[in-house]
Amino acid sequence: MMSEIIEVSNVRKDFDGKRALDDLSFSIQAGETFGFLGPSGSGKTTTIKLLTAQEGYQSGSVQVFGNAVEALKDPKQMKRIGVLTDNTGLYERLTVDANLKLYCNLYGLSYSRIAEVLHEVGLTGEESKVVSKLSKGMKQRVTLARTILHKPELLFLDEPTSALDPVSTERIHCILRTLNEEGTTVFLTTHDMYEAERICDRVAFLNKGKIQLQGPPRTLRVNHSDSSILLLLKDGREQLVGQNPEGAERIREVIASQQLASVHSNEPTLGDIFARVTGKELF
Amino acid sequence: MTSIRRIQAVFMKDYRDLLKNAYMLSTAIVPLFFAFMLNQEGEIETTAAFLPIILSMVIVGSFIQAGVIAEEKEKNTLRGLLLSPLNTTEIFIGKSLLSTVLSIMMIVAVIFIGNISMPDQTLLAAAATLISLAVFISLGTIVGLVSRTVMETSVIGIPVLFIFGMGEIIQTMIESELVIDVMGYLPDQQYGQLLLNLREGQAVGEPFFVLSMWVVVSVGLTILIYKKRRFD
Repeated sequence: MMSEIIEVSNVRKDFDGKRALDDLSFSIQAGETFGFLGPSGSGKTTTIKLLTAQEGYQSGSVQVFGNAVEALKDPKQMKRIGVLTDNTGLYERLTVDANLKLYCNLYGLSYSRIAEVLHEVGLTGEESKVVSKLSKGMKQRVTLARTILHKPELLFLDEPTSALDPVSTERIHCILRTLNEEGTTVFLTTHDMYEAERICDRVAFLNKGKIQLQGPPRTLRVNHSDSSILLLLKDGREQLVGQNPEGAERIREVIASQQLASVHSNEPTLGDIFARVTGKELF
Repeated sequence: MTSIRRIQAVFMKDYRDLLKNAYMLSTAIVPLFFAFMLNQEGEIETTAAFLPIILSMVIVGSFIQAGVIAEEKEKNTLRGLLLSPLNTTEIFIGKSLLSTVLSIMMIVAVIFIGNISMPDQTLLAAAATLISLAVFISLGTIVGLVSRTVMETSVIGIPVLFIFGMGEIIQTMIESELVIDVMGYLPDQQYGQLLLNLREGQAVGEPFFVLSMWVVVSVGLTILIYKKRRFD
């Protein structure tokens, strides 16, 4: 049976009288990859700051590893988490190796871990390169290497693939899937619904500091589907038919006339569902 | 619990980073030129004799410290450190160690280059130097914490450090006795007076006490500002 690693109940957070998070409640189980989806300014980064004890809150409760989140200020508890912020936070004048050595020393790890972690993120052989000379995608992988250097149980990732090219994004997704398979719990924020759908077990839609909807991506899509079927014809036309006797008859006709190219489910994307629920686009 | 290993890790990182930072390195050697110029002036009988030492504390102890702290904030690297097992004390000590070591090296260098006549009571003079250095490093830390960028450390820091580090020069431009008296209590003035008193065999209790008060106030203020602004 999985245990809850994060439990947030009725949290309210204000900045200078302005509501940033409103009655926020959700829980994450050990081993899950949980995605927080929302447009810029919806409260995603604030939530990460709350969950990592960087920010306080006005009311409600936040528990991480079964303790009040403030317990993370204890270095022993801090070692159990890894945080990738919205900025690389790397020392640009130093080499990859020097950046990672610093954190090996802070966490009391052997330097041999550097080769391991660089292998994990696909940067073997790049250790002597100065960080400022690396591409954005490589810098993000070095940051991820630094974040997972101490093998944290719980990983917080704030828009880990934001502004990365598709190849770098795919690499990061592969790494995250592997880490999750090895038992790491992942909490990530994103405004990329494709990313959320690919790597998250569950997602929550955040808008104006409130969770509008949460659940597994597949369940959300099925629940918001109108059950219609999309027929793609050989001449390029599309036809939408319902799951009813008329729809079945139409499909038979199209097959008989040999016009059918393919049949598709007409489930909405997470982006479509977000727009329906909030009346806003994700970007 | 405070870990020497973690403090050393921060120090070594700062050291490696400084070696590749041309701006900081060129700033650090400025006191050497002052010492060289002072050497050309011959024997000086006033507290101005110790100006290159005070400049070393201002430029290396305060300015470099402010730059190192502000850069961590500007590049968002401080957040990484704060989200690691480092505690507040370790960050404070680790981030101040490089400026301390570099200042001491620079002070020794300017004493030799400037041919500064130091008091015979070496231990007392060293203690006074370390106490004053603590004040200037704290001032640098405060400037670093309130600045958002390295550039801002110059804007905020120059007026502050001009007052706190160059009282000797400012006093020559002021006529008000009251202001001159008040400025006499600034750390640079007290340090200069202390060394002069030591050299001339006079009492040093009062300047030692005033400098100690400066340490308490500046360190206290640093901790207060750090707690308030560390994640900004």
